[in-house]
Amino acid sequence: MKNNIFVVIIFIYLSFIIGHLSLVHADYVLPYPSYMPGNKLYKVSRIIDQVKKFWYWGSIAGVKYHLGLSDKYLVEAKTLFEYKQYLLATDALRRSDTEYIEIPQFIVRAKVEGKDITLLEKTVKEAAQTHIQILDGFKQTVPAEFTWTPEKTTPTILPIGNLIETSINIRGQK
Amino acid sequence: MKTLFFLFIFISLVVAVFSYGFTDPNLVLLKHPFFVSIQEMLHQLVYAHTGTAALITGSILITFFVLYIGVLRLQEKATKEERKKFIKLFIIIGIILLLSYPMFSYDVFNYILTAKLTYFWKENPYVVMPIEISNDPNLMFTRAANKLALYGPTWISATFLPSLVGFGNVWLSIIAFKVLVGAWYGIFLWMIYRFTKTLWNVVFFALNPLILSEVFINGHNDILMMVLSLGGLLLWQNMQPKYRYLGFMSFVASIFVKGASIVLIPLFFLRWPMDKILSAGFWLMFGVLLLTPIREEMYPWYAVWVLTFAALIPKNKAKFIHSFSIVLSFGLLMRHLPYIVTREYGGVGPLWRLLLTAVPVVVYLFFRFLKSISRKDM
Repeated sequence: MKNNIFVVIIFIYLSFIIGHLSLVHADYVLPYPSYMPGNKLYKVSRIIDQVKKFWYWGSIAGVKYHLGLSDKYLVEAKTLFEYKQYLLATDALRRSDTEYIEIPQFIVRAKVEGKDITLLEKTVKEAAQTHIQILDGFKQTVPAEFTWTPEKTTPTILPIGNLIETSINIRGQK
Repeated sequence: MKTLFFLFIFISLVVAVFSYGFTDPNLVLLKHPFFVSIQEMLHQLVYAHTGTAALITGSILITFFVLYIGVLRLQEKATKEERKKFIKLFIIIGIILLLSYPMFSYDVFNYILTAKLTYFWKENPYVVMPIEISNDPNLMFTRAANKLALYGPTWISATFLPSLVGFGNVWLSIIAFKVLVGAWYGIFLWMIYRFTKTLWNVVFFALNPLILSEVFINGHNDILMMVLSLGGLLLWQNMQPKYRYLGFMSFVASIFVKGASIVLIPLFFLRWPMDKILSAGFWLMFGVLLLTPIREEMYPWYAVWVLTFAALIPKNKAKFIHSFSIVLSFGLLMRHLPYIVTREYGGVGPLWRLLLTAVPVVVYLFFRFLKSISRKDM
């Protein structure tokens, strides 16, 4: 009987510990979608994105700035893909890639400056994993190619599948 | 008067030495064997005999208040020669306490690290937290390092010079940051005398133990915010366009130190006599002080907001404000004691802090009420 009580106590204790650990661990969280193309404030938000660059001086701030924009544009792309706005979505995805590509140089700069940014690097890795999960999701729902036919001009083929692969590769690089 | 001056200086010396017992265990200030042996002895007293440490601290603070009231009462009887000596007293006490360790608060370390983040690591302190550079040695003894800059750009700009002077040496940095706030204390004393033309008002502010503690011991930046806002207000009320512009700029700068002075905006539109405007300012800042527990806690150094206003009001115009300020500053200064005993901010600490502040104020108000009733009866 005593042994049983002992086992139950240990079980309850461990379940609290393990439960607590799992509660503490938080996945990288992407932001809510911001203004979308077509909204009057969309252009303003894009200008603010550029102006904010001057506010984010410093190497660590640089990482945060570019990661933040990469997140934002990825969420924009995701929303646009869901609404089948493929041309706009691919543009947002390209912008997300462009911002993500900027991150490593700021990490290198921070290290050269003698800053131990282990935690930030971990965050960037987690962000990359979350991005890749989202991009993998696109593969299931978005066509690999889409012919965009604008009024009065010749149609354009959007290589969406290739673009998604490129985005995954960018984020998969170490 | 001479004895009071001597005692004031003596108690300041005791505080300066005793304060080093409060040094953070992770912080090495000086490696000289003599200093280390004294520090270890005091450390033992403060960290191992917390009750005794609190008793000593409480006794020191009460003695400071007794001397303060004594000097305040006797200064009117002082001779011309003795009056001149007050400036010397302010300077001597200022220098002695400047050399003390910030025994009641870790904020000065936060100021130092935020300045280091800005000027040494060259990061925006409003975007990057100190803790994000995990190899910074200052993290060992800095609290609230997991927060973005808590103060405005006026303060961050003002810390450029002390951060330059103190780089690499924590002790030098502490002194440099305290010299910065001490300089603003000096400017404010000049402002008080220039505005009130009485020594009483200067002494009322200069030797108030809470002011001495929060400016020279803990090095809090509230004095900068208040000098800029009050300077701005006085210049604005001067009515001359060039001064009004300067006053407005000064006031805006004050808002960008800590933000609390924003509540003073209505005072700029009042056309009352100056002492009434200052009284209104006192109560406005007191209102903010009462609201501070909603955000975090009623910290003792917030009393600087109200004491600066009280110091500018002529003695005979607002006796209640002056006596109430003294009692309030006593009650607020006592709030440091529970942490010295328990070494934690939670537990019974908040209740004790509330009692230590509220009891003197309530007792004072009660006696004042009784006095007013007895006057009516007569």
